Amino acid sequence: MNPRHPMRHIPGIPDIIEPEFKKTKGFEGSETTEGGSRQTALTGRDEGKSLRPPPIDYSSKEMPKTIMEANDLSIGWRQGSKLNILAQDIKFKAKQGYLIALVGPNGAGKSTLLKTIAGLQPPCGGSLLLMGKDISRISIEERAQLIACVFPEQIETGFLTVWELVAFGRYPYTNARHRLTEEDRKQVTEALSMVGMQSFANRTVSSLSDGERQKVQIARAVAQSTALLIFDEPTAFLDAPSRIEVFRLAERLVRQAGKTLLLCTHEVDLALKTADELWVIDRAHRFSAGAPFVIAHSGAIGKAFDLPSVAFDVFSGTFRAR
Amino acid sequence: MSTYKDYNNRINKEMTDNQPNSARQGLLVACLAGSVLLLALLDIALGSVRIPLLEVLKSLSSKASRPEWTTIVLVFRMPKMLTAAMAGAGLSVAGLILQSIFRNPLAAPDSLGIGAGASIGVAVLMFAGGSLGALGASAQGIGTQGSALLGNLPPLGYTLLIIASSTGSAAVLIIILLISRRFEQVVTVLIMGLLVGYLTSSLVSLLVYFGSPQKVQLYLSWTYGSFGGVRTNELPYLAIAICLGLIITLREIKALNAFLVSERFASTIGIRVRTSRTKLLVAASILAGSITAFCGPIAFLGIAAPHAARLLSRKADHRILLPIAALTGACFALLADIISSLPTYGSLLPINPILALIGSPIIISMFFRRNKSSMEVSQ
Repeated sequence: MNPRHPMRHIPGIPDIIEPEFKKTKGFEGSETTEGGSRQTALTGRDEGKSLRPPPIDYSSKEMPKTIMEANDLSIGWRQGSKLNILAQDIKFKAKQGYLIALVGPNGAGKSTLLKTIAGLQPPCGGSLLLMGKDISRISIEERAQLIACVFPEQIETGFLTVWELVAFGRYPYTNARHRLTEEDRKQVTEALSMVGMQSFANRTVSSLSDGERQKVQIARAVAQSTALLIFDEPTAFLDAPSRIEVFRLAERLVRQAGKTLLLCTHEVDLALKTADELWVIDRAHRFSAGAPFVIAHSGAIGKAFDLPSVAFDVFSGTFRAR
Repeated sequence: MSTYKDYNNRINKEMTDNQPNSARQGLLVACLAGSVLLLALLDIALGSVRIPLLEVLKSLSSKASRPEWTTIVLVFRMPKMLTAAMAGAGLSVAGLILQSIFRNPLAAPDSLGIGAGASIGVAVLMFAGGSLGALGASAQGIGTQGSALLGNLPPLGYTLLIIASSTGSAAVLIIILLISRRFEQVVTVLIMGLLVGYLTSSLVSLLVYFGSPQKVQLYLSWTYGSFGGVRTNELPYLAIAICLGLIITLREIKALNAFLVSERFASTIGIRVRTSRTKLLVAASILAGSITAFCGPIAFLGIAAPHAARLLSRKADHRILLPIAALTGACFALLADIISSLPTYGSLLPINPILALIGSPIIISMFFRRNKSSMEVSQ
């Protein structure tokens, strides 16, 4: 279903990512056996189904479909008539069924790039094609059926329920009175069980923890039934287990539901372990893309986060004080 | 552990019908509608002349046992009651729209300076628009208030009044909107709203300072606020303006719900944010502006009635909240109107202090009750 990136395992190059990945799984596995059925009910984690990418079928000549494509894209913002270009010469192809992680230091332009890709702000130059169509020519309504975004939100509405929030995902499909059809209800329920939050449907959003809120927001994006998902720092404000859970959820969305997921994150180590492709924007706003460990070995991550006192350790996939 | 499972099962069972509290909401709407009707009847029956409830019903078909009762009911009390109900509903909905758009529980037509904007529209029309001529002719309007002071204006006059008032409130709203684009934080926007409010009221003060005494008195009596000044032939103008505002709001109900989360969120789920927000703000200014034009600046309803509606319905969904807010607003306004006409010595009490006097304790007690019940749930 999801042809994997052929660059993922190159014979001869030591595989530094996999052991870490297994360790994570082991840790989670022990937690699940301890928690028993309750843990399963909470997270909706389906045991037995592996999230490991399927073995690569080298005989298949078929390349995955390109969802989004950028050529010489420059991003930035307009200030009156002045154009402030933040980053330029951005070139990428986001393929179907890929988990793409966007990393980079603060202020490099990650959020601006995400907003541009999500169509929330216009590109400053170059071309950005969504399903082969120029993004600026796609109407807001149509765009909402193609891209679903999860941005960090502070929801201050006391009485909004989880079900209602997830049902927002059906907005692009419902009529002016937001009347849910059977199909809409089914999609909402499925999205909720996908993130393991079905038992929270009638709770108010304000009564949830940050991690639960994030999962509900992800369920809302899933309910939008789009090909492309964009998560902006989905792990911000979360504790360590919740962060890992969000990344596992991201994997599940890609591996099981076949979505294309672009997420921007500061968790470089988790991104290296889970992503199929890594996009890096460095302090000089230069963009580079490639298979995670190729990028890691090339030193691009270290350069991107270049600080005198901190260095990126390729072998552990984490940052260390120099 | 087992209780946890039971809880989960119960929730799951409740979830299967997906609209868990629809029966409760329906009952609530029915109750509120019933109390609006009851209060409306009481509003007609009570006053300096008490009319038995049965006679009120009879006089509606001109069959009252005393002919003067028919006159009182049809000429004076009926328009007053209808104005109170419509103004209450309209102001409550306007407040609800603003609270949702600005995601701030303190937003209201008056706290954002929209009431002041409407006042300046009316003041300019009254003081500068002396050429309308009819202004001075309505000296009898002093004492009673409202648009009666515009006396025998031709239909164009009422339209002008609504337009002036709505334009004033829309102008302030546009300023607030520009400010809210520039400044992300809603608190800043609210402070700016207050400042714009001060600005407009100082302009009004200057106009008043240079106005002729007669006009000043007319204007001041307008600022006290009353539902009693609207006459039968003026009612349709108010009704049309309020219907227009409500229709625009109902058409944008999806956007209103999405704005609860954030504007960026609304944009990612397919809402044309700018268009929807502009339409909703226009609706709010039509509602607040037209009501302010006819009844004077009425401060309390816009901020308090939506809160009461939320506490009653326990819903964030505007499809349920909007009718409940309208009904709650109408209830408050009718109740205040009944109390304001209770003193038997003839004159009406000003509506603004009465509204705040009866409304604030009710809503404060609602908050306390909600706190208690939420504690019980968590235990």
